[in-house]
Amino acid sequence: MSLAKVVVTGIGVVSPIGHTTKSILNNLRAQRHNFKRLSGYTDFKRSKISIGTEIPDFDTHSSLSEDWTCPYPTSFSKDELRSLNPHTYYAYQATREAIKEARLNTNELGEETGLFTASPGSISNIYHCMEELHEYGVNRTDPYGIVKSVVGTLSWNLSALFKIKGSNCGFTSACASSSHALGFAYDQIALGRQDRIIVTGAEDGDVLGVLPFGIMRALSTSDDPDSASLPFDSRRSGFVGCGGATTVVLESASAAAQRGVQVLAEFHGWGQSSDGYHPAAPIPEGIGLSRAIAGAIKSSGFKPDSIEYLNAHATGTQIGDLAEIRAIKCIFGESPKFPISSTKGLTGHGLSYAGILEIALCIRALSDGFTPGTANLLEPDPQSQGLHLPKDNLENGARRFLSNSSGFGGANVCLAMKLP
Amino acid sequence: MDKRLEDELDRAPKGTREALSAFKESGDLDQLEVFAKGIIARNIDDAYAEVLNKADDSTRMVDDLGIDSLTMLEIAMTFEDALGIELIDDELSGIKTYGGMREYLVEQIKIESS
Repeated sequence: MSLAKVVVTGIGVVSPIGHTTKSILNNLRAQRHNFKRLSGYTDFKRSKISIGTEIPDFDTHSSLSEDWTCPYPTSFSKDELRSLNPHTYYAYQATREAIKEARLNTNELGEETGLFTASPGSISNIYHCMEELHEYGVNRTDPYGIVKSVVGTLSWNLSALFKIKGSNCGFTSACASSSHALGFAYDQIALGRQDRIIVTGAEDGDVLGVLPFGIMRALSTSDDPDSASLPFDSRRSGFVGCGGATTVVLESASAAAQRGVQVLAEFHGWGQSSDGYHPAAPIPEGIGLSRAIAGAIKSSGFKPDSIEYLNAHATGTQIGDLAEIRAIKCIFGESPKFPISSTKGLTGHGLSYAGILEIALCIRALSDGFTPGTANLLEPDPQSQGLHLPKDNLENGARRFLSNSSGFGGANVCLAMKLP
Repeated sequence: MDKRLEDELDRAPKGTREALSAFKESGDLDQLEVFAKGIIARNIDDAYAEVLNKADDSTRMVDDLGIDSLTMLEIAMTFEDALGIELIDDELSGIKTYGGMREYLVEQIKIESS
């Protein structure tokens, strides 16, 4: 059975480094981050975490969604607003932008269009719901408390808001979630089961969603915004968590051609694997991730020496970055020629939406003619010797790229794409 | 008065809180209706505001005012906390019109005070 070709026709991003293509490209080109000291982190007892990031122009601090603001006109009904949480609010805007770029209209978001999502639910809303339960009792909690908090909230909110009637499913594999969503969406379209799938990853990224990683020593303890997120750098102490959302419209090449819509990227295949080692830590040798990369190479048909860029998962944790360095060397040898970078040096770590955010950033940057470097990479980890880890952006015209993601439990994904 | 009820009264149209106080003092059913309308207005879309202003006994809760079952629970919680009454789920779900709801509220207040 021949597989249908899969392409990207729309992208929408709401991230710490911007929510328009222009602002994102400007910030990527200037290597400008949005990390800052946040009192929300330091207010907690025994907190060594002070640096976080927020979405510019979006304000979702209030516990009541009717107070939230963003730079786009919104027309939510009160019922719709009641079931939203911050990440669904971001995802709504990202999806609107992606649909607009893909030149879709509401009539086309019917049975032919599916929706795959990735989010951990809204941890702060779960917390508030439990607080109400304890303080006021069962019949005094928010009637929308479950709808706006538990895993799945992104799926049912977006499908109702955009009247999507095709397959609708959520993916949870921690920081590989949105990459899994993209991979399985690719499969559905390639197998001819769905013409088009809107894939969305999103995270609240607020204090309650990020700070619990502190006890694991996974968060950056730097108090300097300029050196808080340091993937691949010897000085790294952990990641900076971030919220936001990214939506990518995937469709079969024939459906896109029929509509005469511009193809932003070709999705050639993907690989996945599990470490089978530890519930949180990656297997130190990176064997699991290397199998995912090998799977992506096999599935895409990319020759290893034809790869022009690898967007790393590298979050800035000691063990995670090392495992990825070893995984890359395991597949490509000690000194592959292509550049490798982590855009988390600018965005921070988007957790379950990290993978799809990075696919969006890769497509935007490469389409604009440059390959992103790893911002602030001054002292590369000695173990990375031999790898091409540029600090600065490269004007090298790369088109064929891989993007890695790894989640808790060693859930690994590698996606293979090419610009048209 | 708990924080949730305070928030609801703060965000309800002007005069809602005052009408609640006036009803509690005098038992004036007209004030009860002003309060009830204020709480409903707080919970429905502005698009239905005009219909609510002109609501009569036959105005339908779902079709005319856009109140779904979860929104009805939100409204009922506020009625219960503000008026010190208990609304029964089965009876609440049987209320189809604005007039039916008003009658039911008055009935429950009578039961509570007897």
